[in-house]
Amino acid sequence: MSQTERVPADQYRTVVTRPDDFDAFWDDLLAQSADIPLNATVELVPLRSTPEIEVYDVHYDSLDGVRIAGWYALPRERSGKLPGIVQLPGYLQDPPIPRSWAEDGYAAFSAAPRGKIRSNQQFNPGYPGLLTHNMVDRNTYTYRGFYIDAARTIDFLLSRDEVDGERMGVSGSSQGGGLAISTAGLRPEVRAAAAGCPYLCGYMDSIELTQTYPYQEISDYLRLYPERREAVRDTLAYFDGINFGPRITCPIMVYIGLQDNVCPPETGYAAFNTIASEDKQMYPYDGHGHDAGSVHHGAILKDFFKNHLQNY
Amino acid sequence: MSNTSRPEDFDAYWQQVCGELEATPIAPEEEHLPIRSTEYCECYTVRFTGIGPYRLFGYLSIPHGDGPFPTLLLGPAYRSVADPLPQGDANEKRGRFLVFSTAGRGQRNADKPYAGVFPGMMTEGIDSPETSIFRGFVADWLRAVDYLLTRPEVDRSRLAAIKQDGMPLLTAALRPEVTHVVGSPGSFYNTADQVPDEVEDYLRLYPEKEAQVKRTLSYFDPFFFASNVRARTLLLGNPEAVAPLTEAIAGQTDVRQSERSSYKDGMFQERWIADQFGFEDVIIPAHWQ
Repeated sequence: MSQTERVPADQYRTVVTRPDDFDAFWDDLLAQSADIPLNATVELVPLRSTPEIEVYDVHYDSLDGVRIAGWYALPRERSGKLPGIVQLPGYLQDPPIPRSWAEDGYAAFSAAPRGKIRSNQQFNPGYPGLLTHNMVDRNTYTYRGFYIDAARTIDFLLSRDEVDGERMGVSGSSQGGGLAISTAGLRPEVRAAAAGCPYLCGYMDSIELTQTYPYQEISDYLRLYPERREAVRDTLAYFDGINFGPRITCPIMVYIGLQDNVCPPETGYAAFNTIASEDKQMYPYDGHGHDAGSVHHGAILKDFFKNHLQNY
Repeated sequence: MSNTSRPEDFDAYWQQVCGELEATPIAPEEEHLPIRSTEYCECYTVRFTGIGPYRLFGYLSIPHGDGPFPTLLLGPAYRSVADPLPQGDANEKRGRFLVFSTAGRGQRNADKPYAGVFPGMMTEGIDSPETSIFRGFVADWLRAVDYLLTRPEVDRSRLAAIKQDGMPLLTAALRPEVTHVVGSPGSFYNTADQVPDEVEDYLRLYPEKEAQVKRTLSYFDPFFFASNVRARTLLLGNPEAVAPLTEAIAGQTDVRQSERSSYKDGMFQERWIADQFGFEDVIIPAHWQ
């Protein structure tokens, strides 16, 4: 689609449709996931701990027997139960240690879903490649397990005595934003969610709206295998953040850059529009790209979680 | 001035690295990669050898048509992944520029036998400049230049080393064939005042090693390379903070302070490269138009 044909981002109409069995598909996977013991190991990492923050190396079991890694950070000084926050990673990002969240008083968990380093012993399609791995089959597509790996971060927090299971949030930007949406849609225990420039929303829209990686991976694949377009579209509909929207009922904020060259702002609006929550807020930042206006939005994000998870 | 001290054997240290590279055959293996080839370019994976010896990796995109082509070297960044083209760049760029995007030792596709961890790689071998992983990591940037110089499609008058990091400056200092640099001071600029988080973690656990760690990092401080950087340079950073560095760089240098907008900063960078390489138009992604 050329610039002259482009409509304002908030008026764009998505091509994504919701499969009739979308909820059944995910409810079945959640039931499978619930039957898998977490088998979490939690080991203090002195190298990454500070006088104020304890950092733990965490591993847990997920779908298909894949072992998932994560970093868990806790304030050393604490009284009573802590609100929990999950920080979800970008597509190319190596999951960071969430010390800054812990400094703000959260029990903070940063997971590395399958395929990321530290979680790639059993599943490793690589980058580029992860986005299109088994993209013609919803039952083996990358993000089937990847979304469940992210959803099971909530199980990890619930397993911790120091976490108040009634006060848990999810946050992330880019792929982390997409995972915040999917996790909020899959786990009703999530009480607040923040999604920056969400990736994995409007896959089939994005390949028409932009010619940049990582969505370019899908275009590359379809250039080589044009006959598989229908199968790809059908698979991706099960993983599209736009289709998770009706399952989300917690307070949620979405923030986007109107000049985002990675995750088109049109798709951020399309995802936001389907979210069922009564308490939802969109923050569009003109003059910003894939940074999603974080220079302006950082304080708003902190206040949002403080209001929903700490001031109770 | 940098507050870091220049090691007495700084020149000898880097001469040794360059000597090891010279003695190590590049031994490239290119393989056509149809899935990343487009109407703009043909794409290849390239495996080649750096010091150690260690087998490295890169994605090579060559525009269709007659070369030579202006060339962008996108060397390894400090993370696990190297993409054929940076996330968010207009794919059409690969029709104008020859693009070589490489993975250094420890990164994906170059992670055997050594697989880096992030965080963690930064302090690998940090107790000594001889064992620091960055000795090899810098050499991997240089080796990428060496490989490009074997390619007839590369326009030697327009060869840019690009990464928001200090590595392009180090590379241009040690490989004068690099004509343009887009970079930043990076993590190792003036580490006497502030060290990266990973190093801070390390020193918290091993405070007795502070002097030797800072000595190691000084071998990678771009300030000590600056007088040998003759490439036309765009430095991304706070003008006041980088003033000693920009004054020391031998070539003409522009400084760009971030507007903390990937759109505005990205537009500036794309225009700068286009101007430097003699193009009137700029290839930018749809949402920047």
